[in-house]
Amino acid sequence: MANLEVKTRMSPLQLAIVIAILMMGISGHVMEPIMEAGGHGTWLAVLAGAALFYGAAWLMIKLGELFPDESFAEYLPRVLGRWPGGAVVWLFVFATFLWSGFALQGVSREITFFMFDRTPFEVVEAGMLLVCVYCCLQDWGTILRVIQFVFITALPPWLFLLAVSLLRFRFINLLPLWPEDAAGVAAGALHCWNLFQGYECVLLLLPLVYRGNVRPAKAVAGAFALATGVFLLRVVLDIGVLTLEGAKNSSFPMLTIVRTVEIPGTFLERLDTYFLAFWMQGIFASLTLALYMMAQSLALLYRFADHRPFVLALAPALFILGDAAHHVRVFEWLRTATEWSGLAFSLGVMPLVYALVLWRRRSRDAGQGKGT
Amino acid sequence: MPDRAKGRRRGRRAVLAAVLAAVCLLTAGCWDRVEIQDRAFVLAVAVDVAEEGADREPGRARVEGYAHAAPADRYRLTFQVLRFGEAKDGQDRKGGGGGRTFLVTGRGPAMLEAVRDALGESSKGLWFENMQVLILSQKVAERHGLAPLLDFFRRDGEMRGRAQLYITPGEAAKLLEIAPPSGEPGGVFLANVARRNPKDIHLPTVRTDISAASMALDNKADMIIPALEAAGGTMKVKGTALFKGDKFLGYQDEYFIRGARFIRANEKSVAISFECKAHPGSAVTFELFRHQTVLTPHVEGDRVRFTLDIAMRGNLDEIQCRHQHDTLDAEYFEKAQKLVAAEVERSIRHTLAIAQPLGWEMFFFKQSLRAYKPGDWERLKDRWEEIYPTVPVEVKVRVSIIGVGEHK
Repeated sequence: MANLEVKTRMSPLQLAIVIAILMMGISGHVMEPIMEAGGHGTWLAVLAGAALFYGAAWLMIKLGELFPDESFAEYLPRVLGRWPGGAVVWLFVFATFLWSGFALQGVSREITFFMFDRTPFEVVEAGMLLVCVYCCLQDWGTILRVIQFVFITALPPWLFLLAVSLLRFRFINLLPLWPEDAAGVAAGALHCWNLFQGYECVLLLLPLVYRGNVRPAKAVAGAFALATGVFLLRVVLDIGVLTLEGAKNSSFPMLTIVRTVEIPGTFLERLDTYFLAFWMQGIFASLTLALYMMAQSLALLYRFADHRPFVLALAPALFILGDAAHHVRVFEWLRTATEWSGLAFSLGVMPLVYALVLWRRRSRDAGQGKGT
Repeated sequence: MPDRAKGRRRGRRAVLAAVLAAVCLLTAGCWDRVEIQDRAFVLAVAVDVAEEGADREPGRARVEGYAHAAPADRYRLTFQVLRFGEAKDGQDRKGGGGGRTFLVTGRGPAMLEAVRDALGESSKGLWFENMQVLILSQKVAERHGLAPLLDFFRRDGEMRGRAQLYITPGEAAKLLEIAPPSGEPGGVFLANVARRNPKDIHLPTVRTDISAASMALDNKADMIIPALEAAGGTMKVKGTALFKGDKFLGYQDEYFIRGARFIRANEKSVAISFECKAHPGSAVTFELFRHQTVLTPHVEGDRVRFTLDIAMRGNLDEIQCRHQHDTLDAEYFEKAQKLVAAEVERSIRHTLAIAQPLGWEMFFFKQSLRAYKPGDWERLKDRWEEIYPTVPVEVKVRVSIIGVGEHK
């Protein structure tokens, strides 16, 4: 049983919650390229993406387990050298920074389009960021409690409201289930990074996890399973309600499908507003975690005792990035840039780092063997 | 030491005051809030061609529209707006609903321009979040096609996909002037006609809202829009307009709708009447409770055919014969079931005989071919338009009468 009084530790279940929130909170504007590539096989692309990125997460866990009680920002500079190690940490921060900016702009788009149509993006972004910064200036224990609270209170109603659009669901819209274009499904799986981003936090949080009965790899698998289930539900509903072409042409498919529904016989109308209200909480939680991940990584890299100065330094930069993407074409570009940076980090750099660390360890062990 | 503590305390207070001031900025209200009484809630929109309707009221033609460069005006939009406060009689511009609504009109080369034009006669901003109905005139649909007419309503954030679509052979704005006998505002009345009568097979109002039309346009699919007609101070949904893609094809009657809904299996309860063989001229009515349709595509080389297996369950609901039948008699039962099935098949054949030559298809034929025979669909999709009009459809209807009501 985890000691809840210790604010610098967490249980594997809490790790799973953190990762699930990171994945699910920021996934608003990322379905379109997956559908474009995967077509009716989008559901397969999501499953393949889940397997692929769980593989990447598993590799990161394995790497972390080689350095117990240390985060990647501590051991990488030692193992790879100060500058290369620092560069990897900075790439992590850069990728997280990009998707946070993308998410910040994305949520401000949704809110201004569906709720406050005359409010400038900047005001929504500033408000959201202010709350995230405030939360992020707390210690990890407090942040964790907030994330758990959001997970328990916001996720179930959000899912319920999403599922209500089953009232407009038509199974034939999903067919054919088996796509003929396998290459499209594979491309769609790569585009899924934007869905599953956030699992990289294991590099930072693994030292905080109690080693109990549940192994971290299992907890992370649980988070992936939950997020994959939710993403599959989204795919099924987006296509089943709007048709594939309709979903591809919609700027906000998730909100559009909720908008098409009216619950008969109730006083509840405008379900999209409730949906957005719960979703905003998820995005707040994700952005807070992203900010913490970046700040804490830099604090550990530069041996600061506290992550707070970096939170205050990163927040204006994040605001500028988010706001810079207010033009729809820049926003699209940011999505692509986010995807590439994430793929480069997860599937390019980290497997190389892991291979290098293993190779060095084996060389060292072999050298020691010869010495004896 | 005490001075330093005092200074620290002052600093903390200053920070707290600054934070509270900042919080006030965020909590004092929405950035763009508008009080409810300051909005003009649009319940229905009628779209006509630009030159229509203004000459019906003296002076309207002169004030409508605004000076602008090319392109020329295309649309005349009439907005039925909810009136707050007590209902009034004898409005200067009627809006139906016993004075609970009023009308404002705008003209422009695009929908948004027409909305902006209408603001010249509205003291409040037009608010579309509660829009219930969009009525198009046949003339505007024929002239411009459906895609340009719906673009604004699909794109704008205020619009609701659930707003019901109608088309009318005459002037659309006229329908908004009619006060429904129920006392409801016209827009609400028309929306409720569509929403609350899904069982009625005569009404083609299942999934005929803006979001359904939008999906059809995205998929380059055919669609229907229920037709609305004014009759003696009230209005009635009467038949349907067929659209091939966004092109208006013409109107069809209730018997056509009936066959289409049998194929799509989207009706919930139907009265199906057939003529009693023993007593010509007398109708026997079957009330359908359950209906399942399975459409199966069959492809052999380039030859495509479909089978439509329909299973229906229901009660004998009414017998108009003057002589008592033994409705529980096995032979009578068998005959009645066959006659209902024959009537359903006739209705379906009637619909297909009209739809196929027109090349109009909303029966899931194309969708099921793509869904269940994707390889064949890839091969045949470019020739689908020439294949469809002659594609054979085998209809099999099985009817089970499970009850005869309270009286034998």
